[in-house]
Amino acid sequence: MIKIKNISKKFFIKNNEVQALNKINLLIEEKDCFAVVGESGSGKTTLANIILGIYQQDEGDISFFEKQLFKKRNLEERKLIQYVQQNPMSTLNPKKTIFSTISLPLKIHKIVKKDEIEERVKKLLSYVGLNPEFMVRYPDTLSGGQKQRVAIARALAAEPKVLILDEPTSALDVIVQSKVLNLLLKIKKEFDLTYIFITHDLSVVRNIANKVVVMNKGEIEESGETKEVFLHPKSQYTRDLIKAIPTVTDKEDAVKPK
Amino acid sequence: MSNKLLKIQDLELSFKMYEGISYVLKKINLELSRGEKVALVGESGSGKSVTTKLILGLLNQKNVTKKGKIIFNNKDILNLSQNEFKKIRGNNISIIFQDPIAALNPVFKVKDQFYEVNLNGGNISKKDSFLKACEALEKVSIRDPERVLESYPFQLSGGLAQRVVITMAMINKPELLLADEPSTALDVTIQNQALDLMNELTKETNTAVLLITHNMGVVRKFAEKVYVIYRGVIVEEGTKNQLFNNPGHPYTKALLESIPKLSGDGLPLHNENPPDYASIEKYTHKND
Ligand SMILES: Nc1ncnc2c1ncn2[C@@H]1O[C@H](COP(=O)(O)OP(=O)(O)OP(=O)(O)O)[C@@H](O)[C@H]1O
Ligand SMILES: Nc1ncnc2c1ncn2[C@@H]1O[C@H](COP(=O)(O)OP(=O)(O)OP(=O)(O)O)[C@@H](O)[C@H]1O
Ligand SMILES: [Mg+2]
Ligand SMILES: [Mg+2]
Repeated sequence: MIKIKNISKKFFIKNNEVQALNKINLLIEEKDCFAVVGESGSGKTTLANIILGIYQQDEGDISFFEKQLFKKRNLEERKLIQYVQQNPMSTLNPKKTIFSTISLPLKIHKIVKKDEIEERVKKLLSYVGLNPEFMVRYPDTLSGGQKQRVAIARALAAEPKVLILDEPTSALDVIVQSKVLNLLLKIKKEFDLTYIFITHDLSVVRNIANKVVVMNKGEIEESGETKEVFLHPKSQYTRDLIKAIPTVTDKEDAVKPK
Repeated sequence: MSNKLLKIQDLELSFKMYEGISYVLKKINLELSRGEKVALVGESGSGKSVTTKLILGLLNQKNVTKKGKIIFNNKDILNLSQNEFKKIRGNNISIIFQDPIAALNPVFKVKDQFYEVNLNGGNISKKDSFLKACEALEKVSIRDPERVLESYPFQLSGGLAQRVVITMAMINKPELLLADEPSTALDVTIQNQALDLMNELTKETNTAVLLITHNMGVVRKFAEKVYVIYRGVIVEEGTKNQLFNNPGHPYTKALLESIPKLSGDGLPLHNENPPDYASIEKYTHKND
């Protein structure tokens, strides 16, 4: 469904060059829950930004259902791939109420009739476990996890086919996290969605992703079926990463590769 | 005189909102000794971040009502003036804010923001400040600290920004470090390093750390004592072992049961409406 071919991206800061991505190849299939994990600064968010047409790659191609995607996107292409950004605290517009933040994609993509907008916003909020009363609030009166859930609701509002989730549950306690993840899985099944799930939480990956790619220094360390990668990691980097996962019981530690 | 560095007593907080009064903290009691490593865990929206904001004197809007005491170094600081707070912030108490990108000033390069922080620790030249920052950033596995220092915040990855913020908060060796979700954007290897650094700081300079996190694995690795907060109420407190081996409060139990397992047995399921745990009695483990 999404084919990423030979993508590279460099940034320049003063006299320094940052090779954020170096010849990345990936195939994401329909209905995948595709996890992207790895080193901090290894290019995960950059990859998301390129898939979304926010950044232009230096080289390589992306295709979506066999059709090449360019940086400039039409409305339909923008609707189909939605994004929940890392750091929702700084990505929600501080001058807009939660209602206007979530209703914007409903209006742009004409998802529901005008007189149904309020109903839909309420529904989306309760989907992510937020009281519909939050509609009238501004972002700076919400906690970290509440903002994160608003960002998820906003992305779902557009009724996308692909959802790129960049650390979507990092500010949620494990109870709310598992509620939100269960909900995301339910919606995924109901509407045949595809998820690209970027996270540092490897235990979450183990439980929800069917495939995983491990990135390191702008390159792919390894990729494959999640279970296989966790039980039999091929690269030393992946092995070290799995070993470093903080666990809560000794029993959990025993599951790690030797 | 008490030997406690921080003592929060019957702290209450409410906001007057358009919809009515929102009671956010209801009688928070919490203590930290020098050099102690304490974790504060709990529900999203339960009042963890606002507690740190009160400790730093950052909630002063007109619609805020606060009651109780925050005793720091034997002095109640809850209602200090902004000028008095300025002296405490960045010197005695520093914070790693929950959202690292938002915590940095978007229009200044990282090196200039480091310079500001380094000046708090005493007179220093720009060049020395740069070198000092480089050295500190290398300790959190930043391979090219010069590049990071020459960057604007938007040019950093989530984890690079988080490491910048962690480093800034520790560089002046505060008496109290408030770390609000300091490792959410870090991969597990670097996360461990960051925890080790905080650990060193508590040993070297007797800094006390209040760590807020949703990651129970991190709690197990780092904390000595744990407070569990639910809807503005501390519902349980105890040592790390008491909490993990013998959780008393139903909310704590639910929390521990909800941790996704590395063995991949699937996610725990929950019914829609959580019980009102807060009304149930509080659990305090006293040397059991
Ligand atoms: N707009 C930009 N300008 C300059 N450098 C950038 C820009 N965006 C990203 N970078 C750099 O590219 C590298 C990869 O960043 P990216 O955000 O993709 O990492 P990441 O894998 O998402 O990391 P994290 O897990 O820390 O969020 C980093 O070194 C980052 O500082
Ligand atoms: N300025 C404000 N005005 C009104 N309500 C606020 C304000 N700041 C926070 N709140 C509310 O206070 C409650 C506690 O917020 P706080 O940010 O402390 O939560 P938290 O425990 O840090 O949660 P998270 O884990 O999601 O970050 C939340 O319900 C939030 O909506
Ligand atoms: Mg990122
Ligand atoms: Mg918070």
